[in-house]
Amino acid sequence: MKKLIITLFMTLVFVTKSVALDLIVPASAGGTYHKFASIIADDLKTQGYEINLVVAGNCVIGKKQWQDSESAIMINSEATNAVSKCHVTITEKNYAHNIFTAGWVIVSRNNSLGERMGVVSYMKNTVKDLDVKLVPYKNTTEIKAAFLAGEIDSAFLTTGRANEIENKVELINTQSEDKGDFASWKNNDLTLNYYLLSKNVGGEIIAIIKNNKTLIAIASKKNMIPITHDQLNTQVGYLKRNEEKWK
Amino acid sequence: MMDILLFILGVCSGVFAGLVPGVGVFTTLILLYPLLLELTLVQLLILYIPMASISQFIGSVPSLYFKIPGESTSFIATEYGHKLFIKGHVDLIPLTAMGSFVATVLSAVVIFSLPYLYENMFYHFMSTKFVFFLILFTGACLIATSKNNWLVSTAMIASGLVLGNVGFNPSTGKFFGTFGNDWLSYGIPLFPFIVALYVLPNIMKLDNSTATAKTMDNAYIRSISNFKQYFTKMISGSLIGMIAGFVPIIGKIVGVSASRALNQKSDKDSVIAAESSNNSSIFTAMIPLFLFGVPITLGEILIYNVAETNYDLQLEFRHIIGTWLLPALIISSGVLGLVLSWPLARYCTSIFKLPTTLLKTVFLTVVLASLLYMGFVKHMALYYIFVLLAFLPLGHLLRNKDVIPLIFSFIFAKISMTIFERIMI
Repeated sequence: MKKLIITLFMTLVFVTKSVALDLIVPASAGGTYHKFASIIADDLKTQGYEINLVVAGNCVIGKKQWQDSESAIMINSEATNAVSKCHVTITEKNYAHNIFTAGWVIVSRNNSLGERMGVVSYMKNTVKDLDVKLVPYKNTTEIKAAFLAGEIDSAFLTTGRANEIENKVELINTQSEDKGDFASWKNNDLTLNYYLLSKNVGGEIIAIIKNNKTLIAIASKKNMIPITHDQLNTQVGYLKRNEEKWK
Repeated sequence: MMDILLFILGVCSGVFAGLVPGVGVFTTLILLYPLLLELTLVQLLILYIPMASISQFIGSVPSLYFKIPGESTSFIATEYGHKLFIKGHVDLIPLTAMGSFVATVLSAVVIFSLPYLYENMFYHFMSTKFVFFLILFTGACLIATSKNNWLVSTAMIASGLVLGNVGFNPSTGKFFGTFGNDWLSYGIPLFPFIVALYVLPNIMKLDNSTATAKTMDNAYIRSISNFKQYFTKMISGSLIGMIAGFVPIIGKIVGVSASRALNQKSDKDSVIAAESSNNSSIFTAMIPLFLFGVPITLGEILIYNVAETNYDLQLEFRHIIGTWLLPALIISSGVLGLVLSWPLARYCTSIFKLPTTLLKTVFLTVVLASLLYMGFVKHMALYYIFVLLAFLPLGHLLRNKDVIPLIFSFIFAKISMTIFERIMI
């Protein structure tokens, strides 16, 4: 037992941490954030930068890694920031770039919300004003499965995920001008922005990310062209206003 | 050429995932992640299918030999098969490999038939009520088949559910038992928990085996003639695995638990059925992905996330299931798994020639090195060590108990709670 503890201790002592830019994924491995971060990391590595991809596992640890890091970029979104323990305030100083803006759609089997609507757990607040029972799911893929299985009558999905479902009625698209029966719903223009926060990162690195062809192609193909404003304060203001809708 | 190389890589990484404790298919995919981003959908499947299949074939070898689970589904083999193996039932290795092969062939037939089946029948398998029923059924199976007193097993299941729910549950958006600690929000990581509770206590009481390469060869030859005797167990295990495969994330565990329950009178039968079950469940778990674009296992979710960037997946999958690609990949992976298990089993006999103390030291080193490596990869090595040390006393305390109910309930704790909450709405 003594030998075991000494071995563990020595291993820890002799493992040195390399100095590099931390690219923090405040989510589990293999998910959407991880994919976007990997695309960014590959690009930066090929251009000679040393990148330490940190897949935190969840947003609480992600926030901790962000706070502990000397130099970092973190992918964030209103969805992550909606969890109070994960909230990282966007400021003009730490905001770096908006990579995607996704719209939301309510789909149904018929023309009504029905009795039960599937919603991603951490965004229940965005739809709490609607007259329907909310059933929480981990992500939009689970909601899609539940909708197909007939467990829920309607579903609150990203535009991309909703497009994958055949034979559905689209009740509202938050990016469309026509709000239909949802004209008085305060969140009828809700979007989800995947944006980057940075600290102690040179402008040339952010410029490389902004011009990343793969990310630009995804945005175009998946109808997720990022909403960007020329003025930094307007951009941060837009994200903060949208964030309020998620609380 | 690239496709062949990817298939070979899938086979090799399947061996790696099945053999190295704590490194399952999902972790192996994460290690290969930068490569995955460069692959087409067909290439992803060429890599993933043999990896998932071979890991199940190979996982039973270290489980039966050394009582070290290569995969989370290997616990039935470790707990109920290892003792038989040490007592001389070395034919368990070829019989479980054959069972896995039977399951693979049956799965290939089902996957091949997909375009001709009525899609809507699969919706029922995906419903929360069905999943909830299977989880309850699994709990009952664990209590009924455990070697403990039923009260002890029930207490273990309750403890597993509590411990497994610690942390942030993204399905419900709730925190449980974190006491404001950031690391606890991650939950109790499975690998150090299992190492403390199961793997280390079992390494310390590792028995020696008299199996030699020759006895293994004889076992393989004898198994061919005994195949008929166990065929019904293989078929029943495969069918159970097929149904259980539809349970998101934990389908394989549901399948092996149910297979064990149905064959509890004979440990040998239950191990053969369980090992057949886990092979068929990995393939039926792919059916919602192929038909509706709904991934339900961690590996599938990862593949789906990578591929959806470039493809309209539903359309692509509909095209793919109309071709021979999937059955061909499944069958060839099965054949290779069956063939590879033989030399691997022979090789393992030479490991047993080492003195017991040296053998224990080697295993301790491998397991702890894997644990540290996984901790470093996840940037939480210290937390892994803390969890290991925290649960070692419990592992020592329970060293003579059947801890399968505790481990399995720990694994399906979060999904059980999620499903329960959904049922209550």
